[in-house]
Amino acid sequence: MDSEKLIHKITESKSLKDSEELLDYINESGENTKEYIRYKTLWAMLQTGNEMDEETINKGFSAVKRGVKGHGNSVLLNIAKYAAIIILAVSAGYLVQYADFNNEIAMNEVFVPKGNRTSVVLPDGSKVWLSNGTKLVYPESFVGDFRDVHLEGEGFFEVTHDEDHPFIVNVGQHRIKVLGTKFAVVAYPEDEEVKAELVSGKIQFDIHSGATEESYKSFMVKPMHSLVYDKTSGKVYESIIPDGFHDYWQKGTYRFRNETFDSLATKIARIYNVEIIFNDEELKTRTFTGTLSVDDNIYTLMEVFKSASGKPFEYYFDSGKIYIDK
Amino acid sequence: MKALTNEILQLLNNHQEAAFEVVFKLYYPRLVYFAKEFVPDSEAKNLVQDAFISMWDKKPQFINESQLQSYLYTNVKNNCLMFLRHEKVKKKYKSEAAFQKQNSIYTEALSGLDTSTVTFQEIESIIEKTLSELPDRCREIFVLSRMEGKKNKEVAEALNISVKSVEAQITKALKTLRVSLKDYLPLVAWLLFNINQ
Repeated sequence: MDSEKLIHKITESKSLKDSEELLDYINESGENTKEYIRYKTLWAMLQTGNEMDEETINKGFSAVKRGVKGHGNSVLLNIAKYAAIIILAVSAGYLVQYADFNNEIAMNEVFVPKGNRTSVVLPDGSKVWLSNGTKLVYPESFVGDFRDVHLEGEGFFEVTHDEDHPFIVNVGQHRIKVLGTKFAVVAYPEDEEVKAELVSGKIQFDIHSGATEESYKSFMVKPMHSLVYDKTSGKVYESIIPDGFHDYWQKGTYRFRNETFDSLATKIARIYNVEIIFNDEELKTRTFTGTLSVDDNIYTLMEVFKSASGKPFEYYFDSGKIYIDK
Repeated sequence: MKALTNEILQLLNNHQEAAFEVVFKLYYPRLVYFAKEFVPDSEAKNLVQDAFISMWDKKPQFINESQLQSYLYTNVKNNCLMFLRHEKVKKKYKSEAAFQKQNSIYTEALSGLDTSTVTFQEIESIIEKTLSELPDRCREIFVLSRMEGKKNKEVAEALNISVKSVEAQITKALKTLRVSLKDYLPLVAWLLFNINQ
């Protein structure tokens, strides 16, 4: 193909992939590729767009006006109204209000730092208890067919019954669908599992699976049962809610039975906002039975553990961390 | 190719909507057709609209039109590159060799495209040089035909001459241009030689 032919091909403005002749030419050599690119870009730069009719241009301008902030009508006002970030302090955390730009509904965000607890009443009257490094995002008012909230961490929900507007707790890609009931969700993004614990009523645990956004495997949870989804293995297992369940949410005490030191350490870290580091791996597998209270002092707690342990261990504090040694 | 007066630029710098509209109407078509060379028709308009939206929001200041051109083309170029990258990822598993090749060639072409002010000054000087080498009548016809996009029939009406003589003038112009431009910029020559034919 000579230059003239190449140029002629380019000026037809057809896609490269649809021209076998051009593809062959380019594939022949790097020189050819360079030549093609040179003419192609020049051709693109020399476009005048004179072919475009008035109506298309006007449509384009309208689209730009719609997209521009504060251009014409009330777009600016609406965005400014909702973009304003209002920070309100709540008992033991903070509440941030921001806009969901898609539907222009202000969103509330409650964050509970480690070692704290709080409760929130949602716009529909549902009550949520949150604790220890948990984030809950919910709209200023529920509109549409669903009552959607987003949770990172753990919360106990007492959902107001409304059959027409299912309540949905979104945890990452998964979700828990509710009509009206009492249940708890434990879903820290960094944890290996997502847990839903049902006290009464009916909830549906939708585990995200498969490629599309809307593909879920659904599980019904029985009252007084919990359903745990293991993120790594993808397995789901069911168990009966332990006795101390209510105490944990209402009194801030956590009852545990034969729980490993490792698992307890994670909970202690969240409740007391202190990191626990095992200098000896073997210690992680030791199990404990007992109760811990959010109001306990961390020093007292460690002493209790130490005395409760069949085999002795040592611990020391260093720059906000607890190190555990044999 | 210069079409904006300094007053328009001044008003644009002052964030006047009327000036923005003038600039939009002048540059939107050519930018869309520029983008269409690299991305699907359906996307070109959106990508160019995004560039204008960003220009309005960011309120850049321009000293001359070359700067404005550079700003717009650079933005559209980057939007196109972003689209091509996204398209490549989206169709990663689609083992269509021609598609993959096109994506990589277009990306290479756009990445290497200099959209700095200098380029627009060069293109302008090429056009100006081209024009200056034309006899007056030819130039007049060329401007109407090339710059204002008028059909041969419209040019004939505007200058009150026959379509045949418009065609004859263009042919004459093209012969002159062929000599002066062909050597260093065959495409410009080719482009000019094929107006409205």
